[in-house]
Amino acid sequence: MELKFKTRVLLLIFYISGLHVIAILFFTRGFLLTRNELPLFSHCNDLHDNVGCNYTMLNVTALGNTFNTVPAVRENICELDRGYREPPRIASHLNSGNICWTPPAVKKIVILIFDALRFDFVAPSAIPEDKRRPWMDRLQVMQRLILEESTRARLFKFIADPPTTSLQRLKGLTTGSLPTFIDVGNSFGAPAIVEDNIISQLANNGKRMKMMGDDTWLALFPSQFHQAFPFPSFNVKDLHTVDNGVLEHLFPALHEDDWDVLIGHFLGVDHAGHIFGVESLQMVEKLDQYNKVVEDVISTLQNESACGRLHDDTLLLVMGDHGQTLNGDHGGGTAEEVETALLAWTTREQTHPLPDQCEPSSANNVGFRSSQEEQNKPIICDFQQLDFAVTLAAILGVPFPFGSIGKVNPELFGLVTGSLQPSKDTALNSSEVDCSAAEWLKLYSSILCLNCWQVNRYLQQYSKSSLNGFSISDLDILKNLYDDARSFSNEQSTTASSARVTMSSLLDAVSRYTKYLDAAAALARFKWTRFNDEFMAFGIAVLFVSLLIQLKAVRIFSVIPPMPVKIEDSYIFPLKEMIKSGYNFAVLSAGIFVLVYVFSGGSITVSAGQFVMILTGGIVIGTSKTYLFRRNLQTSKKIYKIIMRNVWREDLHSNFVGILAIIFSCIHACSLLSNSFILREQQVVTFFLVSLGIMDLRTALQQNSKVLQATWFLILNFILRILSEATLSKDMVLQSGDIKPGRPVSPYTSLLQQLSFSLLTVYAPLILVGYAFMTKLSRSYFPTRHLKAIQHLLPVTYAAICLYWLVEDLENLQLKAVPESIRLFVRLQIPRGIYLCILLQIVLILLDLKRTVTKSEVGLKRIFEDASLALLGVLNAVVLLLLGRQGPLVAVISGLEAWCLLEKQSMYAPACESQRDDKAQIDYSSATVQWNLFSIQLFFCTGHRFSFDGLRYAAAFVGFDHFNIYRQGILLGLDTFGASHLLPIIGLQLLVSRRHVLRRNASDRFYKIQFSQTLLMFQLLCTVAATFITVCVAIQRRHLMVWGLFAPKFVFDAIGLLVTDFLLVLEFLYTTSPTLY
Amino acid sequence: MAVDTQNKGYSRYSIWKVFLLHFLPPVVLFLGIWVLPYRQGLNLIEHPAETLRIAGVLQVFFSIVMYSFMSLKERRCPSVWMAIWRSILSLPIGAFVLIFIAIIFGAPWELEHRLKSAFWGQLISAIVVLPAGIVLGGSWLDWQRLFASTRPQGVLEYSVCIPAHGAVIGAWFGAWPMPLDWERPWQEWPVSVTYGMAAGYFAGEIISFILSVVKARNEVSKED
Repeated sequence: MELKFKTRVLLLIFYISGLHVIAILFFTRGFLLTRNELPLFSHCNDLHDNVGCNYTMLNVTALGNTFNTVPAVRENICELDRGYREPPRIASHLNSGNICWTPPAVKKIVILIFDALRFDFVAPSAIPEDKRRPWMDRLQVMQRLILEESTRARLFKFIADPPTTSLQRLKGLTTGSLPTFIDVGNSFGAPAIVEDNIISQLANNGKRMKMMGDDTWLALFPSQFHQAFPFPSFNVKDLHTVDNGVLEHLFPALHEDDWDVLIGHFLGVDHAGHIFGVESLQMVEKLDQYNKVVEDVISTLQNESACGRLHDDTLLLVMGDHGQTLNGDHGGGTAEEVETALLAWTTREQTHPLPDQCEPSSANNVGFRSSQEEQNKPIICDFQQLDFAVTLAAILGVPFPFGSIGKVNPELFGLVTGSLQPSKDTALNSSEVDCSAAEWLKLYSSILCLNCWQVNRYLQQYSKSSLNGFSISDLDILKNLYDDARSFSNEQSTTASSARVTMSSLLDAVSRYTKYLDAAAALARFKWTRFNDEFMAFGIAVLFVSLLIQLKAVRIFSVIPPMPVKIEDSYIFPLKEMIKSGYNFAVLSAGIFVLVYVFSGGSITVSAGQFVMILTGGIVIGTSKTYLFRRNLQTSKKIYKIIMRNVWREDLHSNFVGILAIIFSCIHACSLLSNSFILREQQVVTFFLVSLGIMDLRTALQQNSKVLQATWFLILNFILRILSEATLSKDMVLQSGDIKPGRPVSPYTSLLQQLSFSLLTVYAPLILVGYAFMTKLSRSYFPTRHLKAIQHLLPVTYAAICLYWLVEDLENLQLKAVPESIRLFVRLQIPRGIYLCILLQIVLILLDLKRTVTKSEVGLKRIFEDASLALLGVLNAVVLLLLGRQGPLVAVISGLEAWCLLEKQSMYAPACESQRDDKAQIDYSSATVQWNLFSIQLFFCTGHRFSFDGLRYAAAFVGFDHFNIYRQGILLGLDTFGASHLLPIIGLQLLVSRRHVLRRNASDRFYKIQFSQTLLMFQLLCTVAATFITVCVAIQRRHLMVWGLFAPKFVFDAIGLLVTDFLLVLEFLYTTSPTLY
Repeated sequence: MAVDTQNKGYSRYSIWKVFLLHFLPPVVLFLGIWVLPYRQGLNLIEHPAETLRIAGVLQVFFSIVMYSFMSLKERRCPSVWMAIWRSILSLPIGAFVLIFIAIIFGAPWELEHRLKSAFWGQLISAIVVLPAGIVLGGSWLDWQRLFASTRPQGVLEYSVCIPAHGAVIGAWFGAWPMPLDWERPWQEWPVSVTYGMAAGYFAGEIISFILSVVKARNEVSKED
C-alpha cells in the first residue's frame, strides 16, 4: 500500500505531536505534583459512635483529675486555684455543648512567625564555638528560656516540606497538609484557601483572631480574621515596614483582651536574606532586633501572667515558616531551607521537668548534645510542620482540619496539657507521678485515636473523589495498620474498662497509632512532594529527540523544491520502516528489562509508570532512529552538491537574514533560562522582532521595493507597545479597584468624553476590522455560494458584538436605563447567538474547501487565500468578543502589522519563475520566525501574562452565568490562546500564498511542500522555546522563583505547544483538502 | 574580482594618514565619554545627560572639522559652507531617526527621559550619520550603497561606513543586559547602550583600518 504525500505529512505531524504529548506528560508527571483540594470541613458534631474512640479520657473531669492528681500542682497556689476554678468552667462549656473534639488546653495563643528563620539563627548544631559565624546563635533568648525555664519552654527543630516558599508554607501550616504546585481546586483563580484549615476552624468555633504583618495571610484568609493589620510583602528591598508595623500593633494588643489567637508575621529576615544574604550586617541587626522582640513579648506576658490576669494561661509560639540558604534563597528542599525553629513557652508554671527524650520516631537530633555538656543542654526534638495544624487544633480544642495528615505532637501537647510524658530512662518510682503519667497517656492516646480516625477519613475521601488517588496496595497497607491500632485499643477499652489500664498497654496503643499516622504521612509525602527525576529526564530527552526530528523534517522540506529529480514520498515519512523498528525496539527494551529483572533476582522494584517509560523509550528510540538515520537524501552526490551550493554560495546573501532569524530565535529561547528575561519577555520579543524588521528594511532599501511596508512594520510595532503599556496600566488601576470593570475610562471624565473615547477606541476599530474583512472577501475571484453567505454573515457577527457592548456600556454609563429583561437577553443570548453563527460559518468554509476542485494553480492559491481570510475573519470575531474592549484597537494595529509582514514577503520571492524554476531555495525561516515572535507579542498585547492570576477569567463567562468545566474551559482557552496561537496559525498559510510564484507545470505538490515547510518551521520554533523552558524548569527546580515564575511559564508554554500541535494538524487538513485536477 | 582591478584610490593616502583617520575619532570619543567628564567630576553612570552632552558636542565639532577637511580634500564636497550646511542638516535628522529606532527597540519613550535620549541621539548621530552626511551629501544612491548594502569604496567611505555599522551593532548588543535584575546603575538607559556603542565603534575603526591597509597593499602590488 503506497501512502499519498498528504497522508505522509499528516502522519509526520501526528508523530511529532505524539512525541510532544509523551514528553510533556512524563515531564509534568515528574515535575508538577498535583493534589486535589477537597472542599470538605470538619465539624464539631462529626464525632459520633462510629469514630470508635474512647471518650472517657476526653471527658473534662478526666482532664481536671489530671490536674488534681498531680500533687505538685497543688503546691502552686495559682494552679490550685485553677484546679478549683477550671472544672466548672470547662463543665459549663460541656453543658452548653460548646466543647468540640478536644477540651481546650490554653486560653490564648500568641504566634510570632519570623519568615525564613534558619535553625542555626537560634541554635547552631554541632558546630564548635570558635567556628561560629556572627549570625549563628543570635536568638539567644530562646536558648536561655529552655535552659532556665525548662519546665515551661521547649525548642523544636521545625521541619518544613518543600516547596519552601512563604505562601505554600502558610498553606501547609494551616491546613496540615502538603501544598503542591497545582492545588486543583474549585476556586478557579482566587488564592484563598478553600480547604479546611485551622484558621477557618478557629473562626467557625468562635475564637477571635488578630493578625498583623505579611499581607499574604489576608490573601489566603480574606474573611476569617477578627482584626487584621496587613502590610505589603511585595517589596523585597524594604526591610522594616512590615516589622515596624507589626511591632506597632503587637504590644498594645498584648494588653488587650479582644483576641484568642494573635498572629504576628515578621518579614525582615526573609527580605534581608534576599537582598543582602545571610552573611551580612543587616541580617545580624535584624536578628538582634528579633531577639529583643521575643524578650519583650515574654516579659510582657510574664507581667500579666499572675493568676487571674490576662495571660495566666497563654501559650507563646515563636517559629519560622522555612529556612534559607546562605544566599538568602529558599523554595527548595535542602536541609538549610527546610529546617527552622519553633519555640513554645507557656505562662503557666509547670513544676515537673519535661522528659529529656524525644519520641522515638523523631529522636534523631544528635547534634545538639555533642559533648560533655550533655546534662546542661536541653534536648531539641524534631517537629514536622505537617503536624502543626492538628496539634494547634488539639490544644485550642477545635476540630482537626479535614485534610490534615499530621499527628498531634506529643512533646508540644505534653508541654501545654501540663502533664508528664513517660520516660523509660529516668526511674519514676513515685506512684503518683506514674499515675499522672498514665492519665496523660490515656488522654494522649484517645486524642491520637481521634487523629487517626480523621486522617483515615481524609484518605478514604480523597481516594474516592479524585482522579489521581492513592494506589490500592498502599491503601491496603495503611488500612491494616489502622485496623490493627483500632482493634488493639478497642480490646483495651473492653477488657480494661473497669480496671486500670496499664502503662505498657497504653504505650503500646500510642505507638500503634503513631505508626499508622507516620505511615500515612510518609505515603502522602511520597505521593505529593517528590520530584520524579527519572520522568523529568525522560521527558526532556523525548523533547530533544522531537527537536532533532523536526530539524530533519524542516531540512527535508526545504531541500525538496530545488531538487531536479522527483523524490519518492516515502522519504517524507517512512511509515512502514518506522513501525517495524519501533516495534522491534519496544520488544527489545522490554526484553532487556525482563532479563535484568530476572538476573537481579527481582531486587529491582519497578512501578507501572517506570515500565511504561521503558516501553515508550524503546518505541521512541526505534522510530526516531529510523527517521533520523535513514539515508534518504543520498540519491546522488550531485544533487547534494547542488543543494549545498544553493545554500552556501548563491543564496548566502538572501539567506543571511534567515540565518540571523534562526540565531535570534535561539537567543530568545536561551534567554528563557534567566528569570529576568522571562519577566520581560515582551521586551525581548519586541527587540528581536524589531531587529528582524530592520534587516527587512535593509533588504527593502536594497531592492527599492516595499520600503513603506517595512517602515510601517516598525512604527506599528511601536504603537502596539504603547497600547499594551496603556492597557497594562489600566489593568493595574482596575485591580486597585478604582474603576468598575467594563468601563472604558475612569469615572472622573465627563460623559461625553467617555462616549467619544469608547467610540474611538472600541466601536470604530471594531467596525473597521469587520469592514476590512468584508471588503477583502467581496473581492474574491471565485466567489462560491458559501463564501457569499459568509460575506453576509460576517458583518452581522461584528454588528452583534457591537450591539452587545453597546447595551453594556449604556448601562454602565448610566446614560439610559435598559430594562432588566432586555439586558438579560443581551448578556446571555447575543453571545450565544454569535457563537452559533461563528460555528455555522466555520462549517460553511470547511465544506466549501472540501468540495472545491480547481483546474489551475492560480485558482488553488486564490481559494486558499479566500478561505484563510474568511476563517481569520470569523475566528477573529470570537476572539474579539472574548477579549473585550481592548481587543478592537489591538486588532486593527496588529492586523496592519501582519499585513505589512505579509507584504514584505514578496521581497523574498524568487525574482523570475522561468529563470530559477528548479534551483530556487525556498527559505521561510525569517518570515516564520517573525510570525512566531509576532504571535508571542500578540499574547502580551492582548493583556495576557504567563501567570495563573493573569488568566482572564471574566472571558470565560461571556454569554454564560454558570460554570461548566468544559464550556468555560474552552472559552478561557480561546481567550488565552486565541490571539497568540489560533489566529497566527490560521494566518500562517498566507505567508506562503503571498510569496508563492506560480509554476508552469500544474501541480499542487510544490505549493503543499512549501506550506508543510512553514508549518513544520513554526512548530519547530515553538518546540525550541518549550524545550528551553522545560530544561530551565528542571535545572531551576530548587530556585527561589520556580513556583512563582518558571513553573507558570512552563505550564503555559507546554499547553501552548500542545495547542499548536493540534491547530497545525487542523490547519494542514483544511489547507490540503482542495485538490487540483 | 572586477572591482579590485581598477584603482579605487586606496593607496592615495599614506599609511599614516589612514592611521590618523581611524585613530583620531576613537580618541576623541574616549576623551568625550571618559576623560573630560571625569575632570569635571562627572561620569556616565551618575550623570548620563551631562556626560553625553560633553561627548556629543566634542564629537560633533571634531567630526565636522575632520570630515569636512577630508571630503574637501577628496573633492567630495565643493566648499566649506557646503560641509557645514550638510552637517547642520544631517545631525538633527540622524539624531531623530536613531532615537526613534532606539525607542522602537524598547528604549523608554516617556518624557522624563528626554534629556538623556536627546544627548544620546546627538552623540550617536555625530558618530554614525554626521560623517556620512558630510562625505556623501544628498546622494541617496550613495547612502543606499553604504548603509543598505554595505559596499563602501575608498578609504574615506570605509572609515565612515564600517565604524558606523560597528557602533550600531555595538549599541544593539549593549541593550542586552538591560532587562537583567542585577540592579546595577549601568543597566539604565542609555548607559550600557553607550558603552556598547563605543566598543562597537572602536572595533569598527580597527576593522576598517585593517581593511583599508589590506586593500591599499593589494592595489600597490597589482600596480607593480
